[in-house]
Amino acid sequence: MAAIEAAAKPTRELGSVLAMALDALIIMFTRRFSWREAVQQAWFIARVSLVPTLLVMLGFTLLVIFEVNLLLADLGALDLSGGIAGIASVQQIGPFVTVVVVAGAGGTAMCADLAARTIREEIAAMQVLGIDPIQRLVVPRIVAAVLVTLVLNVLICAGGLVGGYFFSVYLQGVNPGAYLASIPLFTGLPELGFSMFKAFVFGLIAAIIACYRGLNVAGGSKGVGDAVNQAVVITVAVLVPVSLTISLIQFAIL
Amino acid sequence: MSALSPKLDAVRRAPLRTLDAIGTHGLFYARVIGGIPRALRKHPGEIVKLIAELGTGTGALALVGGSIVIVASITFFAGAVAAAQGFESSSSLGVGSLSPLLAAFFTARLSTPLLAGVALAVTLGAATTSQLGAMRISEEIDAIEVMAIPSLPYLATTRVTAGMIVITPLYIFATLGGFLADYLLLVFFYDVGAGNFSHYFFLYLHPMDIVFSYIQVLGMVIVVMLVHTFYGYNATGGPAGVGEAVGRSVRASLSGVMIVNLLIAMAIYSNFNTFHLGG
Repeated sequence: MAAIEAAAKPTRELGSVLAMALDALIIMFTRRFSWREAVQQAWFIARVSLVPTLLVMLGFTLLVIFEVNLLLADLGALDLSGGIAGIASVQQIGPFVTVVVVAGAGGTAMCADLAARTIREEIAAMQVLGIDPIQRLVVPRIVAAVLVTLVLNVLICAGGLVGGYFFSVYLQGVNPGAYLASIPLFTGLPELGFSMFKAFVFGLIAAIIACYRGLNVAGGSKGVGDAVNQAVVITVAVLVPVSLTISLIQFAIL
Repeated sequence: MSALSPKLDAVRRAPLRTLDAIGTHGLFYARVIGGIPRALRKHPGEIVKLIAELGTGTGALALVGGSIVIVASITFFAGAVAAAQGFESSSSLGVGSLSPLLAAFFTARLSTPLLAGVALAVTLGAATTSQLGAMRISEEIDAIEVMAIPSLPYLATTRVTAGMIVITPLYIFATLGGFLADYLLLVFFYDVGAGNFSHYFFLYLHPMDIVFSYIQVLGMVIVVMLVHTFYGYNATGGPAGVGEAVGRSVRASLSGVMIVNLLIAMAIYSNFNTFHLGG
């Protein structure tokens, strides 16, 4: 019996996450939406994620462009460098860096905040006052996280292309005109659309997991730290396969 | 003056505070690294215990197989993305059968070290911060000091050392995960052909690339463990403060890891570029 209990635990967790997501989805459209909380949260998430976003984007994109330019130089196809930078920053790295930043920066901050409120019994107090924490806290956070993720994705795509330009042209001797002209070769509006769609899904999943772990934190001084740790691990581990799936769907459609 | 405009005063002091923070971090890292001989001499048992703990994870993470399984699965899916993108892009140029070459190049040099760095920060790193933070909050670190055991070498240095040792098996699984994904995706999903795959894959998989990417990952794990032990060791503000510290440390180490990775890769590959299409 104990073995069955242990085996059923992960599925029970999954069920609770989905139940909370469904609650949030229904409440989002049926009950009053707390704009003030959403705007505050969007500002909060944007503030904590902006610097990590820029640094992670620089490290990620420039490394990929640097390596690919080495490969292209060997092939004698350096004028395709812009096209590869487009693929890299818009199609793959943009969403990937967004995953890392949204899970690592926005998600951790959100989860730590909610977990702190839970163990201080503020959430229980809200429920006693008849305020639904899902309506008041979770829904605005999900909306805010998705919004900020979309904005960050645009920032990362644009920043990657611009950073790649300076890196390729000034450090690796790519022709500036060829760089710009080859960007649209592989990347167009549909690819950008898929990139934004990926960012949307990632923001949604990261916010749901962060809120769930934050609201369901176990007690003790180790509890909050563990909850934040688990939230970020689970988010990254879930989002990487999701990214692959969306990429495969994109390749099948386009 | 300062009573009149506290906000202005805070702005005026911001550069000094930044300088102060840099000094605090630097001093902590120097003391942690300086403690390595002492930790190896006095606490070898603790290091062995921590290697086991970091490799398998604690609590809920151990249920799914610990850090090794998580890191390997993340690099597996990242390798799959690299292989899929490589196949689609090369077949749009009409050279789809060359895609194993691209997979070997991208997986060994890019996706594995990059995603392994992220995975290390979120698994090993965040767990370390959470553990040390909880010890600091429940005053266990003070208790260790009272027992006349210098807590920094005992807690922080042993963790950094254990991280540097546990990275080797972790890295092996991470790399194998990435290569396995290349093979499965290209051979079974895109029908590249097993013979074609192994020919081009191993033709362009330079052994030195693996060594270099191991150096990258080793550099990243040192940064990750140093940053995360700092935030855990200096946690304040009760249980909520531990959560705050974990969040802050993940943000700091992600940024640091990516920059370190870029610098190491540029230093290595601008001098020893092993990739030559013509052989």
